[in-house]
Amino acid sequence: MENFDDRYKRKNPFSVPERYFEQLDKRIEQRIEVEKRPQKVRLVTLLKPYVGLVAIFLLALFVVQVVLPHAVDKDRMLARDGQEVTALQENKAETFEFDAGFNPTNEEILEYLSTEVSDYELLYADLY
Amino acid sequence: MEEKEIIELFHLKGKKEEAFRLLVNCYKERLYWHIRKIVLNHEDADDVLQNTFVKVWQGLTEFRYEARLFTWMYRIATNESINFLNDKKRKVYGNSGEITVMLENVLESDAYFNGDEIQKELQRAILKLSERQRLIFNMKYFDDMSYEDIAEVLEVAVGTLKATYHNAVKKIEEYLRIADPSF
Repeated sequence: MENFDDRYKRKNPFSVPERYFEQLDKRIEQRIEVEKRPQKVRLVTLLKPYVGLVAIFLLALFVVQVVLPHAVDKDRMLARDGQEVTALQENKAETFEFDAGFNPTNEEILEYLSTEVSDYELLYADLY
Repeated sequence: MEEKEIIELFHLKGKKEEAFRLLVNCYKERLYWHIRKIVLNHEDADDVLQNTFVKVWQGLTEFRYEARLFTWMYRIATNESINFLNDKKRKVYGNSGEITVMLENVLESDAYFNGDEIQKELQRAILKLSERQRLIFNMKYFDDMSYEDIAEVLEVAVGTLKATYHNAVKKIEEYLRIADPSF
């Protein structure tokens, strides 16, 4: 250790620019003044949470309005007896071509309607 | 003015700035040289010193004398220096870079190094130490701080410090014997 100290003598080999320490106080003071000022918050930082909420809302709207309707097949439904049929099939069964010359009488209409009424409906007809 | 008096002045209404100016005036050089020995480069040391005093300004209101004021400031300066070096290393060399390599380059290119080749050799040897060894060696050898003061700054036991310093000196001597045959 003696050799060490003799040789290097704890000398500081570094230096500073002229008048550095004299000017340092003022520079630190100026830096503190900057720190004291209220920090301007960037508009982007302020708006970020609201932009996020709006984005979530729009996404939900998109899913409900655009994605979900396509995910549900409107043409598929359950028939009266619980069997799955397509609406197209049912509609095909019930579609008919409109005949402008067809002009049934009241009796014919009543007769038609009565054949379409179920026993269930007949049972409750008297209640009304 | 005593440390305690500066703190009391700082807490008096309208005297904050005056107290802080006293603090800066008292401790700027000691803190600068401590930082400079860690970061090596003058411009970097200047940046870190300013950051240190900003932290001191911000923390002084809450300072409760768990440690002495000077060792508290020394600790801030040490942490700021280490963080500065880590950030600089990441920016320049990425995550895989070595701080030692970076500092060796800084030492070689420093415009404010006034030492001779022997002094430079010593600095190169110090750079071969671990971060902890380097800190302790600089504080003990160049700053002539007591082990108790160093223990307060680094929050390490005195016994550990003595052992670390001893090992640091051995390592430096070993390096210098190889690098400087006249040693």
